[in-house]
Amino acid sequence: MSAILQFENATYTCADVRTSSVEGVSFTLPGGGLVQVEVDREGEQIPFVEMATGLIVPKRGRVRYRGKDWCACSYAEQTQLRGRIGSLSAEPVWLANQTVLRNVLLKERHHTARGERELEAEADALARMVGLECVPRVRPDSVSQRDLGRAGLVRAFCGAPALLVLVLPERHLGTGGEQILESLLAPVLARGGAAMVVTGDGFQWNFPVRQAVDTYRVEGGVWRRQEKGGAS
Amino acid sequence: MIAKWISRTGADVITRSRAAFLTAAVLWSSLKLAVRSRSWPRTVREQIGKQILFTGFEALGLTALIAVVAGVSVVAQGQLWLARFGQSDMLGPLLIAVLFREAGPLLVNFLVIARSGTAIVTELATMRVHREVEELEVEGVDPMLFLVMPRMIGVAVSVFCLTMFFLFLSLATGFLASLLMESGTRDAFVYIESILRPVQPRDFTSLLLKTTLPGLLTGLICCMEGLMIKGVATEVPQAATRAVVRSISTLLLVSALVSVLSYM
Repeated sequence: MSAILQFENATYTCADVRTSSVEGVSFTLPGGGLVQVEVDREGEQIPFVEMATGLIVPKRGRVRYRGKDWCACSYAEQTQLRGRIGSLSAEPVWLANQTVLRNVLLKERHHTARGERELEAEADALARMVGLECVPRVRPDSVSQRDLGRAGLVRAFCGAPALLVLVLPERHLGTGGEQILESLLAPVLARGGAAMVVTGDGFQWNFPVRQAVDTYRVEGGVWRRQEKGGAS
Repeated sequence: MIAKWISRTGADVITRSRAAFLTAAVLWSSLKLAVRSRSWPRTVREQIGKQILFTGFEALGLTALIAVVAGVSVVAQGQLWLARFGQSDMLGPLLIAVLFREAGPLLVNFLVIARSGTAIVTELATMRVHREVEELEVEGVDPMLFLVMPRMIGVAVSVFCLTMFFLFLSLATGFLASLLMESGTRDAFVYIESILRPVQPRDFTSLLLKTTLPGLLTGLICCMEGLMIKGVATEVPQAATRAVVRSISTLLLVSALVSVLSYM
């Protein structure tokens, strides 16, 4: 399958409070592929996650999404391309003046002409898979952090994302998280989508499809491939 | 001492010119964005609707109050002064000159800046603080399209509609006040005719420009000030103050310019 995401020795150096630096990120994520990236400390994932979604530009190297170099795309093209990326951040951010459901469906409602009922049914079906009765129809400030975390997963998987970027999903999924994540990921990967899952604190997902999973590790801002069995 | 003053003045002029150019550039790109058909997905249309509801519909009560007070005041003052010169028949033209051409659009714009301008700037600045604007970008939603353009259009449409409502109510109140004061005509048709007679096509152009242009600019300035903060909560009230001051200055400037161009 053709590459969904391709990093070619991408390096980002920054010294602000929120973002850290990362060097030499190189990997190819084909359609149906899954990479797992372990980070030493929180915040280390920000540069490569944001490079993957074209929000920041690498100082060196390049990042291609579905064959297109993010840097060569206009802003309008970038927003269109991002419309097919599902992402979950470590602490999901919600638009405070909209209900959780409207937040979840924002991308699909903005980029597609799919009907409201169809979208709501899809979101509710995903919500049941992550252990919610349905996606809350109230504003985010009236919903518990646990439910918001799970709704964040629903938001990432809603629509047919070509690429999933999931940061610390283990935080939002309790016991049985592996089965839940696997059941959410399987249809996306089967459709030819790809996923990048970032984990922290030495946590590793043992996906049943583990043989297809490439694992990388970021240590002190340096990107390394982790061989199967844990040796880097 | 003088060199210092010149340097300070020069720096101030440069800063203001930069702000004006930036505002003009963002206005131009927003208008360009607005004329593209693909810029109107349902999410954007909803935002425009919400803005009109908040800025226009929910401000009807306050606008009505100001319109009634303005109508009565202008009639009372007009009667007092026109009677002295034996020109009581000129009440209609006076109402048109004062309310239709100048005070109506100005008062409504002031009301919208105070009520909605401050709300827009604080809402967007708070969104910046809570990183909601970045979240929009992650979702592939252009903040200019989702936040700025709908607010600009919503405010402009609301200012125009509120001004029409204001004019209708203030002129009607003026007639009722003149009836109560037992001055001027008692015939509604004569009153309407006396109001409509001095109205010229350029009055409509001027009214349109004095409502939509400051409305667009108020929406734009408030959005820009809100989105330009660096993400610290203490900047929110400062941004609100800057937005109100800039919006009022722009309103007065645009209003004066349109008056000069229309009537000189």
